[in-house]
Amino acid sequence: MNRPVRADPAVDAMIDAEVAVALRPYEAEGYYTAEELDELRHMMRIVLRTHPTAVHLLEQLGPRIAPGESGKEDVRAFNGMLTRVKRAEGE
Amino acid sequence: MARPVPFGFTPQEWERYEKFVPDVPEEAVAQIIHEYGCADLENDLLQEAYLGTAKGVRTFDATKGTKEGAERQWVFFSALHAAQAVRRKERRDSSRVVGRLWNGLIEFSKSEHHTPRVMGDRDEDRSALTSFRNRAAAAAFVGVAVLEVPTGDGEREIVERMTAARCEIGLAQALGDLSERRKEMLRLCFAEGQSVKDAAATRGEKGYRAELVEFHRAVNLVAARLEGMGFDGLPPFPPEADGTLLRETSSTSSGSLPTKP
Repeated sequence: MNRPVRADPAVDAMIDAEVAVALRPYEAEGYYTAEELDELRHMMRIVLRTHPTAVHLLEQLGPRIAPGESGKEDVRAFNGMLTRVKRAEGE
Repeated sequence: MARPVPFGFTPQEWERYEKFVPDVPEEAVAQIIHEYGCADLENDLLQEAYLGTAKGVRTFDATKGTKEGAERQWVFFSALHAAQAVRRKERRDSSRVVGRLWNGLIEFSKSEHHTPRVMGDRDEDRSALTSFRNRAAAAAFVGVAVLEVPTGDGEREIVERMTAARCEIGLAQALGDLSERRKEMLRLCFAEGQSVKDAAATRGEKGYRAELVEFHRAVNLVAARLEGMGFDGLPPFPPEADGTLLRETSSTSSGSLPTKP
């Protein structure tokens, strides 16, 4: 899998926040010029938006997507769990 | 007569290449345009992204990433790297420092793997994301750390010398008393853009697996030193990084990892 993270302003805000924290030590130490830092910021945003590890984690941590309409939610896992609970209770 | 295969591919490589086009180069170019807004360069970017895709197919080593999607990840970042090089050429002020930042980050992105868990634990995911972005930023720093200082009198060389001077203390601490072997490995991988496999072949002393272990130990040591310099609460390359090549190599158990100096 190598797909970009979903387009969502909340996820974009998370990416910007992560990039800002990741770059802070390098800003404070003055290792890079403003221009180099800006370039690193762009690169980090691309990597966080496209790397499978980051995409997976951002989507896990991002806001849940509400179902668009009723009846569209996948409840198979929930039903399976319910069946197991009922079996365990001897029903 | 057999149909000639482009890029000098073997038929097997060609078959793998066809799996990735046009999706991978187009996605890489879309990301660059999204980030930098350089739609006027689209054709040039695409051309290089296709070449980068071909290079990715040729350089992917199946022993490096056996996880699902590992090859696509490698090829995608190869395409992204190639396309990005065009954008940098277009900029008058592109510098070797920026090039090294890219090289370090792309090399990290190609090789870094993670095992996704089905059921998410938010605390663990939070920690994994923190660790990932710290290691990504540190990989770019290590790329610059091994940049050779130019001696010329041109404007670009002077700017690079100033960058090197700014980095001097940090770099001296991070790379200080590493053994020559480890310095050479970091230089080959981050400054000369070689993969660990190529670096192992260049050195010709040990096999790929042994060199891979040595590479991760060297990077871990640098990362521990960066942490000691106050780079973050978490080390940029924590040994507990889940699913990395480091973890996949059995001989680099956490007990053999270097401690913080």
